[in-house]
Amino acid sequence: MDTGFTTAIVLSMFFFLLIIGLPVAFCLISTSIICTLAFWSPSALYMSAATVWDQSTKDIYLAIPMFVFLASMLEASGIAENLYKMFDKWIGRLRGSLGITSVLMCTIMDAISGLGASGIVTIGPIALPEMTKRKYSKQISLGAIAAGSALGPLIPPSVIMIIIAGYTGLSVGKLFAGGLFPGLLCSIGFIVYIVVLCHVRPKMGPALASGVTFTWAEKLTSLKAVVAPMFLIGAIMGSIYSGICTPTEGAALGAFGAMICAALNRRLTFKELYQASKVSIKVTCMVMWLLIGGNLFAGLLNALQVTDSMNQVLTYIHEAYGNFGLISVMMLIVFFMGMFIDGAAITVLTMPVFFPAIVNAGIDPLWFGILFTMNVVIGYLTPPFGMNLFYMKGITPQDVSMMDIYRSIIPYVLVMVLVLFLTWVFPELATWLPGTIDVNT
Amino acid sequence: MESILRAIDKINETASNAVCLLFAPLAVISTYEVFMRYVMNRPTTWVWDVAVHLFALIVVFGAGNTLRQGGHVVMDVMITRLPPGFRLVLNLVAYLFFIFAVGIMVWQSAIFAWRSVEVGERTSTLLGMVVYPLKICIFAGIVLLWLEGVALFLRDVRSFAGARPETR
Repeated sequence: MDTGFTTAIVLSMFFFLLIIGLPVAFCLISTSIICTLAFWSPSALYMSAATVWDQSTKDIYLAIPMFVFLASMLEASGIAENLYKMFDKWIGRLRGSLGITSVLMCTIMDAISGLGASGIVTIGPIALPEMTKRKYSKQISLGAIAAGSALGPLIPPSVIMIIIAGYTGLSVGKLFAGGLFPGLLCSIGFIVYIVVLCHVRPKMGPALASGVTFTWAEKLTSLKAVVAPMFLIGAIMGSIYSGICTPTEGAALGAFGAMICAALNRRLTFKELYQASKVSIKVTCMVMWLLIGGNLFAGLLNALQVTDSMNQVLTYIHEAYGNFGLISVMMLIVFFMGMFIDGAAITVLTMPVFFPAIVNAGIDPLWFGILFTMNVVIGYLTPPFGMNLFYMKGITPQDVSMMDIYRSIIPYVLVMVLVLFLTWVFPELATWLPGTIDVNT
Repeated sequence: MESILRAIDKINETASNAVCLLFAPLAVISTYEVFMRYVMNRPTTWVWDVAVHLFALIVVFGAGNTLRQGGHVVMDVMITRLPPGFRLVLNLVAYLFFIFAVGIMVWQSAIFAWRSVEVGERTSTLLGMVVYPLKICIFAGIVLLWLEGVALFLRDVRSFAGARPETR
């Protein structure tokens, strides 16, 4: 049968199921199975069982439940409260200090967690009420937390990068390292934005009243709060880069460390653990079934040569408009999808098609992986359906509308787009650090 | 009918809540392995196999309950704007596809598990654990997922028939 025709049927079936509200994972699974029957061969149906087995026993993906569990334990660990008090003592006198604090704290959480909403759930409930109390403008406070938190999968570690590595065979360690500078640049960009805005309009982020001062002794003791996060970052990234263990084991060490931190803060009860586990299993299954569906779907597209025909289109674009054109098209597609759908789903849907085209075009795959991750992360924030915006809505008081959140997020998204362009123009931002390390994972 | 649907929910919830208790042991044994290998210089033979088993159990036995709680990613831009009646019809259509496709997965995973039982398949790692118990679990997990899809479908059928508005 004509490839164009089957392509049309397969894709329209997928989009039909997607639009009528079947979860993405099962749109992929259903389309794959039904089209395997129709266009491929019933004997290929065994793939449906074999894929569940492959994906849920794949060593690299074992890192996913560990990172998810780590993130849930972080929420229970009480690390965020202590950090918050420390930053307030040190920089409370600056204008916009709470906004800056939120971004810095999110950045620290991002360096521990590989998910995009950890900052919101750990830091939001502490920082938001405080900002409201000190009469911070919503424009600063909402965006600072949502955007700072979104950097989670860009600043290592990262669940998105693990999925990318699973599809492409790129080194997890190198991908992680590549995200560090772009991620930190975004954080710095956010802080610059807050500082500038608060200097132009001091009312948006008032400083602590000048009467309130802290002694140096108080300031120095508060530094204890940094110990736990540093310990966790060391356990995860240190163990991976020193070659002691694989990223999967690093994630497990982090999760174990977070349990210890919770225990030290006297928060490790069975109830907390059970609660964290229940949240974790939901997120883990969400991601894993997407991966199962995505894999089945990719297998079908390959067998029906749909991937080839899509590749021809991409090759044509590459020949006509060069690397710039090819990456632009891909980035626009990811950016557009980011407005509507979750990052893990975007990765699963696009990577199998994009990656071979990138390799064929001779573009550095690692660099592309970082650009891709940045774009996916931006998707957590872009209205109307950025995931982080909904998480924000969940923790804000009633009088904050979805429009308030949309409005506050735009400048932060612009900062991220700017950093994306910088990384595009100066690939060294993403490729220099991975080039200096030698990891076998 | 109601009692059957409730039983399906209950089984899925219990299965999920039971396997979610495996997260902490998973973190602990992996840490133990790193400790034994790096500090004691005596890597274990069993952690890797066991960890993979725990992982797979989490993935397959959590699926149904995640579906029940609406935890899987949905693209709901379109459907949330439609009138409830129309949405219900679309939902019915969607879950017909689900029931058919995941039904085939049930059948295929049964064959997959059975082949493993027949040959007494073992892992290629040092421990050489038998593989079929896990493959049977994968089959069981997919059955639970399928049942949950059927339950969701039947509830929608009932609301469509107008028996009583269902909230889930």
